[in-house]
Amino acid sequence: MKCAKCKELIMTDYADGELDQKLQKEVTAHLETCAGCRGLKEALLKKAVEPLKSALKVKPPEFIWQNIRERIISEEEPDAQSALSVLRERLNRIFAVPKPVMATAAVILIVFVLVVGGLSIYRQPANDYSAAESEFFSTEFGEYNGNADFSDADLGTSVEVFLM
Amino acid sequence: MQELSLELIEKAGQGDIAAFEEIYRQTSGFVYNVAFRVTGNNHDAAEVTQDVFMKAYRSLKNFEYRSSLKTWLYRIAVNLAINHYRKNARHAQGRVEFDPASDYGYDYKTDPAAQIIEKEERERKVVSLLDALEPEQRVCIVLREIEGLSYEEIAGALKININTVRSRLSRAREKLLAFAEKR
Repeated sequence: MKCAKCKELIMTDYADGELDQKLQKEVTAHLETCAGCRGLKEALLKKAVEPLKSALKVKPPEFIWQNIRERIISEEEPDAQSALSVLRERLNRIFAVPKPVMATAAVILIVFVLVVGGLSIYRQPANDYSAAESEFFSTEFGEYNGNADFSDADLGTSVEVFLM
Repeated sequence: MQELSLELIEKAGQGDIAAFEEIYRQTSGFVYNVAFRVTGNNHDAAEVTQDVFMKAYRSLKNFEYRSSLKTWLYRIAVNLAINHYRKNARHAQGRVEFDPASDYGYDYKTDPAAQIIEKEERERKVVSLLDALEPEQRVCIVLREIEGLSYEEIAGALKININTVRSRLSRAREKLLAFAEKR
């Protein structure tokens, strides 16, 4: 193995124990014969690897979880309140009628009201006429009801005479 | 660290705080340590840890299991820690002063003095070595040397090629060696 390759492996896989058995043996064999590479390995482990491996593991303080828990709860509270408004919105959406449909419905309603209202206005005189007619027949003309011998002279106009 | 159960993840994703707390208890040590080593102090590490778990809680219902939850958490932790470090580095050049009492929770009344001095010395060395590195190199070194992740796990956590992990580690160690030999 050449020094360049050995140095490359020392800096990474060899120092971290990630070499396969075959390469491990080759590096070990090279280190036995090469003082330069051996010096690099020793310096690396002593000055750059081992000091970091002995670093303390720090425990997260308990207040961190308390803060996280409080943040989760405070974020979920407005969610619960907004659940009602979401429900209301959904209902509105289900029962919502599009504006053109509303406009058309309003026009149809107005036309319907006008037509029905108009008919009842025209019907009113007709009804009055019928009432007057039946009154006439029941009173003045009525006295001739069932009387076959009423005279032509009692009928007002020639048209009436013709019709009769 | 053992793998988190699917049932636990699903429960937490449905908003079960107790299940989420269980996930927190199992993973927060890693997240806090990485954040602490990258940002350099316990105040920023606490802030990053809170942000990591809030982000995880909000996204858990959409978690797609393409990677393990731990790898996913590692990735969020590393990204947020680097972002936090960069943001703060713009305002204050250099790392926050090493403060063993508050950063490591030493008890000066009960811990033997010699032990405290030795730990402090060791920690000073760790801090100064990490300080010599760029954030990306520092993360690689922290994941490998302090957290003991394999190359494959580091590649997964950082979403980079395994050979990129090798080259970052190699460059970081060259820098560490040069820095240590100068002192």
